[in-house]
Amino acid sequence: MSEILAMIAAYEGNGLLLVLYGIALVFLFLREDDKANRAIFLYMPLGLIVLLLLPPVHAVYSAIEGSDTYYRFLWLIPMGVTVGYAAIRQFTTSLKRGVVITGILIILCGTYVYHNENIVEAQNRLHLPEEVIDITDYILQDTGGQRCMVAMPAGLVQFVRQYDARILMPYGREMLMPQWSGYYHSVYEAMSSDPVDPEQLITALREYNCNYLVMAASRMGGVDLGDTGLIFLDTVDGYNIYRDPAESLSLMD
Amino acid sequence: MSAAIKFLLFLIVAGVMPILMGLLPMSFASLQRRHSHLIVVSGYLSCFALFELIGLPVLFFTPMGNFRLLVILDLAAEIIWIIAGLIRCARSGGVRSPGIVRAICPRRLRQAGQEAVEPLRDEVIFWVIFLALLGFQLVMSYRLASYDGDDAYYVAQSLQTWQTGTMYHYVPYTGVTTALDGRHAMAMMPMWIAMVAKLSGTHPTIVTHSMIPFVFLPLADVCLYFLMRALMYEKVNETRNRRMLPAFMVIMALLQIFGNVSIYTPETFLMLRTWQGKTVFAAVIVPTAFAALLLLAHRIADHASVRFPVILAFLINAAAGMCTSMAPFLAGGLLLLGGAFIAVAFRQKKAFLVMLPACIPNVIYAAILLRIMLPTLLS
Repeated sequence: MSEILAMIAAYEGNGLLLVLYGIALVFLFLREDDKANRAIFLYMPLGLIVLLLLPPVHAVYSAIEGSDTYYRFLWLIPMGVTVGYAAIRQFTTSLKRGVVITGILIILCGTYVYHNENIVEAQNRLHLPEEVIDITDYILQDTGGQRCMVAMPAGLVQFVRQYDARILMPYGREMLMPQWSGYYHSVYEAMSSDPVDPEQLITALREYNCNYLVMAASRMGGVDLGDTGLIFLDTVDGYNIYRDPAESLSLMD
Repeated sequence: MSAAIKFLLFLIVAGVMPILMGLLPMSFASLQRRHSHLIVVSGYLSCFALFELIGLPVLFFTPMGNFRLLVILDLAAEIIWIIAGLIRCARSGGVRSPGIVRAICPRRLRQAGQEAVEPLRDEVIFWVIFLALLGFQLVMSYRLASYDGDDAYYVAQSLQTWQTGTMYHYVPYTGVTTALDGRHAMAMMPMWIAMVAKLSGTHPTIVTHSMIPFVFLPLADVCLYFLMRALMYEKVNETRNRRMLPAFMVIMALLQIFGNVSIYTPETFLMLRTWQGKTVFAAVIVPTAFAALLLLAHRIADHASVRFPVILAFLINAAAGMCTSMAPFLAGGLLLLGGAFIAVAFRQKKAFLVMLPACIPNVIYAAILLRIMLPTLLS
């Protein structure tokens, strides 16, 4: 039960919109005279809330889908629509005032979506970081358009294959997901170690037949990869690109 | 091909064609109920349901999932569906003119024997505010990039398919080949986007991030409009109540913009992950399911035909499979539960019983999913 309540708390954030929903439900209980609306927008959501809180329901859902998506159960409860409908019904005779009051309440209780930390100014129509495009283009020009295995910095892995699927990677976004925090990958470990250990790095790269290595230039100060056999190609948008001549591109076909 | 032509092709494939597909299910409703918003909603549901119906056999029974075959079959099926809808509607009186047309040229409509609408001042003001808010959302969706980790799966799947012509046989995170992950593959929204990208000659990531919001954000609003009309039911035609619809839409648009109280809310998903299947579930499937239930309840109360809400429920359940692997169960459960509540409220078993055939797609989906998951569950 505590897990379910924690999920609801995380879902509702500051909880103020939940309060608005509660008020809207009370309004429907007192004022809604349409039997159909009462059945579907009052009694059924209450039934769904009871179901949601039942530990066996949580257990069954978690067994099939995993408990981390249990919050989607809350999507079945029409909170926003109920708030909107109750507001319109309450202010039927003075609708303009009602919309203004409800709008102010929503603005005060809610959070502006475009201030979300994951939102940035788009650099291109792909909505991908420009450096990902530049680095990928550089490498694919070097391979003549052939598929290749590239070890990318962790910060770029989630974007690379949204730009071009010809880039293969020894590890991807799975290394960054909290639910797979115990996952070990030698290339990830070698690239994350500070300072970079050239011997550990080249061993890991060859284990996964990596044709290219991309590392932030800022991390390579004082690191000499000359003895590893990697050839430095260029620095693109602050990232050093290396090629391993010992690895054949034909392995990727 | 210029960007403008590509965008036009995108609008045809992802906008015009799905909407026209709504004519066929609407032809089963009476002429009085063939509203434009219902054509839009039932059109997209038909589009998704048909894609899922054709896509799953192609995915499971062709080597590596033959994407080209899927595109050809789906396109042919869509065209046949549209022609059938056009013929059926033309033979049974056509469709109602959209409200805006009825408001702009009432005289011509009266001459044609259709109901005209005299717009109210407040109504116009609320619609203008709502459209301004929607326009703001669309501009922001284009200008701002939302970096979501799940795109490393969904968008990479679309791109992999677009580039290789195969479906779900590569690990999207790394690109190495793998056995078919049937469970996740059954939610075929990334493949639909790949098809739209293929037919519009545009990179799937551009389609996903820069174009899809221009279709899905208005679609989500049409679903909310449908739901509010269902809540108001017959009262919606009373002149003084007509202002309530756009006023409601203004409030909902504000909720979408300020509903980001956590990363989990449907509003956050709609604004930041517009293109993902789970967003379509929260913003399209769920509101439409509630609207279908309200229609069913009102028709039961009026002792009227329940054919249209049942067809809608069927399409909802079939389309839910496109969204996530759990969506058909949640949608089917919601519709059955709603049917049960209506049956109790109106003391008519029929409300629940008519929902049973509407859940046939869910049963088929569950059987396939069980077949896929059984080895994992048993081990």
